[in-house]
Amino acid sequence: MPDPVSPPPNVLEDVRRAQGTGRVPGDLVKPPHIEDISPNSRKAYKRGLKLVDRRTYAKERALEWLFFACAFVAVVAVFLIFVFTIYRAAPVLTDIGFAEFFGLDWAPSEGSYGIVALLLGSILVTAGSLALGVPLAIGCAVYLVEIASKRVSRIVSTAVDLLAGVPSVIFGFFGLVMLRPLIADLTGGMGFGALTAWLVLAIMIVPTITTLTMDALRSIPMGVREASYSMGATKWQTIYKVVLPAAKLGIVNAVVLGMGRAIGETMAVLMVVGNAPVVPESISSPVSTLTSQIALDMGYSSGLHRAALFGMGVVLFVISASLVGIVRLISREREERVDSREAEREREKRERLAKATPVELATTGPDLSGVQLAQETAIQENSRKRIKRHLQNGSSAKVSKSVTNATMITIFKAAGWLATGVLALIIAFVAWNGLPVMSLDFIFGWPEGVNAEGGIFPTIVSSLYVTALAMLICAPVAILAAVYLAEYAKQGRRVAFIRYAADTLSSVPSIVMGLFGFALFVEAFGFGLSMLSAALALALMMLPIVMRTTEEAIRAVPRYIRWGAYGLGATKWQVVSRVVLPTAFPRIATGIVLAIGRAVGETAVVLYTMGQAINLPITPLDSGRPMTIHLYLLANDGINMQAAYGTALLLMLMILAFNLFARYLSHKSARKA
Amino acid sequence: MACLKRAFTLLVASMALLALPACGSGEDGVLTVAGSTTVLPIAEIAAEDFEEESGVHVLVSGLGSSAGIEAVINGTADVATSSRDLTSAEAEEGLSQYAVAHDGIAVIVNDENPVSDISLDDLRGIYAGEIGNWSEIGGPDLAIQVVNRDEASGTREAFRAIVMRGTPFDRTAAVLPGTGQVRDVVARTPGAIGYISIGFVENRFTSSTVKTLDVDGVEPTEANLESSAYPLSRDLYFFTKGPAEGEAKEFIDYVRSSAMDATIRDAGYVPVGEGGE
Repeated sequence: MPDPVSPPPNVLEDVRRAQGTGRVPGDLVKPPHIEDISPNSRKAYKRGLKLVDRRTYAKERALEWLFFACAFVAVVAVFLIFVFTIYRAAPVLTDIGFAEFFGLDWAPSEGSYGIVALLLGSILVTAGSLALGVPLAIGCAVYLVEIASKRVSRIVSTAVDLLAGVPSVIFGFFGLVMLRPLIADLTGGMGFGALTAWLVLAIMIVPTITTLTMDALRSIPMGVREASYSMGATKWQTIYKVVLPAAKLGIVNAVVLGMGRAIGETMAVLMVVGNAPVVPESISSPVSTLTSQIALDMGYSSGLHRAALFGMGVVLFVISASLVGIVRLISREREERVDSREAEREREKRERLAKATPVELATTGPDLSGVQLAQETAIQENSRKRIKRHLQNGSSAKVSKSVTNATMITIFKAAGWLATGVLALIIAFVAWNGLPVMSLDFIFGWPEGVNAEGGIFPTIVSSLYVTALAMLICAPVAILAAVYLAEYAKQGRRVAFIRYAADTLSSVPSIVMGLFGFALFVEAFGFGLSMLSAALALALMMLPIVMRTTEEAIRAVPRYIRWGAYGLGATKWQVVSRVVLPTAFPRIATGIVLAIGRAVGETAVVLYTMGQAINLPITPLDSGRPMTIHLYLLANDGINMQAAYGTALLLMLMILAFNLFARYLSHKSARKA
Repeated sequence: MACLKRAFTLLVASMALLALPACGSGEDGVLTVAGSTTVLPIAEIAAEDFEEESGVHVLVSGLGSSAGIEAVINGTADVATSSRDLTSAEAEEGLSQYAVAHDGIAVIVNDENPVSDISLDDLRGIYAGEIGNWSEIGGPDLAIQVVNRDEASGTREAFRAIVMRGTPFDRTAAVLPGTGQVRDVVARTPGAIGYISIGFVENRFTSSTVKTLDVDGVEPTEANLESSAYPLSRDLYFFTKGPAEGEAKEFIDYVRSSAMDATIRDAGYVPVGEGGE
């Protein structure tokens, strides 16, 4: 790193020229765009704004290309996943035939590879879980944003966040051991089937939908609600007729993403559906899904059977990618509803304000882009009209407003507390059964005998090893990619493309990521079933998560800090590396810790990339068995359940610790700001 | 900057780790064992103990019986483990066969079920989905809830060969991926029927109980297994290409010695004893 270039005396003059506005300098000059004042941007350089020497310029350009390459990893990954899964699925077309692949009979041992029953199973399981989970999640979000006091809201939203972190194998374990016997008693069957899967999945999609719905509700300006109240509407009327309609697109967005989560879920479903690859007779008879069948069969399949599993992977990939496409269409719709002229006026007002008090700029965090602002105002306009229209015929309501109001508020409250209750129940279930097993011997001992008695130390090491390795691979790439997206890239088609790829990557069902990891890292690269193969697959899964959180963290760094650095003559890389990244570090760390929590709890990705033998890994090419797979195998065997409970408890504690640590980090950084 | 420097250091360190070559393959004193997932737990424990005693490093993997036999035939593995007999094609490859354990498959029902005996034909009827109610085979008027194992299971493979004999399984049956799960579900569900290794019928890990059915009038006992009177039985084998020699022979002898008896019983099988052929 060279010394910071000392600012030439005529820097202000040059900056103004680069700005090219020709406006009279003064207090109310529009603040220049980063791109314009960055002294070594290509634009500035080409305009003859040679503030740096050629070598520095070359270095800066090289760095920019490096960052772009990192950002492009997401695109390459999505492309590779798609191409490789299709490549391995090719025999479906050549040897099985399209018509048979979309037939009803799934009986690999008899040479039938029809996936329709499995596809229907996936749809049935997803639809039911949405029907149960969506009202719960929306109720929960409404309660948190509109009704609950700040203190209560903090407790419940912590619970929702923690629920999001609970690994799917623990949900499955809970469903298998707690819910299944209950359902069996209720329905008189065995308790395996769609109904049990609905309950488990409904709980699992609640955090996803709740968090996104909360964002949508929060983006509606307070004024909208005030207008409604001032016209005599009750809280329920305001929620039902004003707030929810205004947040409609955001909520649809949330539901679609929740749907993606449900259809891609593997382990939890696998453990409770009963795995009968048929169109089920009832919701309490065994059924199978695409994801669970892949996970169940992958281990021993070969030839056409394996190709068919990859074919199912392609189907899942296409489904999840189209869901992401739908979400993007919805977002575009949301943006198009904007009245651009009003948006412009609003933004200028905002910018004047911002310039008047730089401190305010610092505290408001990320700049609201013009589009976002305009969107708010547009919705506000619509809402006002809507309020008027709806409240004009308020007299037609026959039921007393206050009774309805009280009832509905209670229902929302119940939804919020139900989510908290479920988390408490799962923690209590794991703790109650796991605590008696807990001992130092269990944590630091080795499994003995065919039923894995004794301790689980090698599995803890395997879990931490693969997570650390995955983070070493993922974090540098993801952070540099985020730097590119937030600092270097101009918003345009290229960035939109990278974002689309990242979104698609984050939506790839974990079992498909596992299939891909198996095909590419285990087989094609020859890494075998190893820590390295599993870590690479995990790294791809973590990449979009860390990228997104890092980008948000970087965008949250106030602009004036950058201006200060540029003002001192720093180059772009100096600004990024010495000012922006250190400032954003606490929030980046939060994102990484959250991603670590997810990686530790991940099962489907590592199931067929790491091997399952109990082994203490030393080199990255060793195989091993992480805690999640240990728990899954113990729960499946159903013999040594004590060890399963103990493993579940330790896993849960580790993940709760990571999540709480992340929350602590983000609170600390929020307070500092 | 400090954090970035640290990040770069970590990156370099990770690269160095990645560059570490795989060591250990193709050396002397290494024995490769591949094959059946059913035998895997036994083979793993035997490998560990054997390694301690003899210093020979044993690499064990569970790929399925066919893959293991294939690996021995083409020389990539020294010993194949299998939960089935050789096919006629495989038998021509000059493999030597060593039985290491007997496995009996017990047909289990709920404790409350009064049925105590079943014929092989009725059993096939139930698993093919042709018999749907216990009253059809002399039991109470209760729907039969069939529990099957997953296709990776060696027990299912043996059950298919011995009981089904070419008739396809009823695909609406629940497919459970573990012995204990089958046992647990049958113990809780009045109309359920399942099959598990005899060694797991009495289980020291749980207090719940299940009832075994006599098959064609023969009770699933260890004695009836050894005398081959009980129809649902099979042997677990180790195969080598040509007669076992050197380390492979030592390993197979170790697995068949009394030192492994407890492990084999823990896994739910009956040890074959030193005289087994």
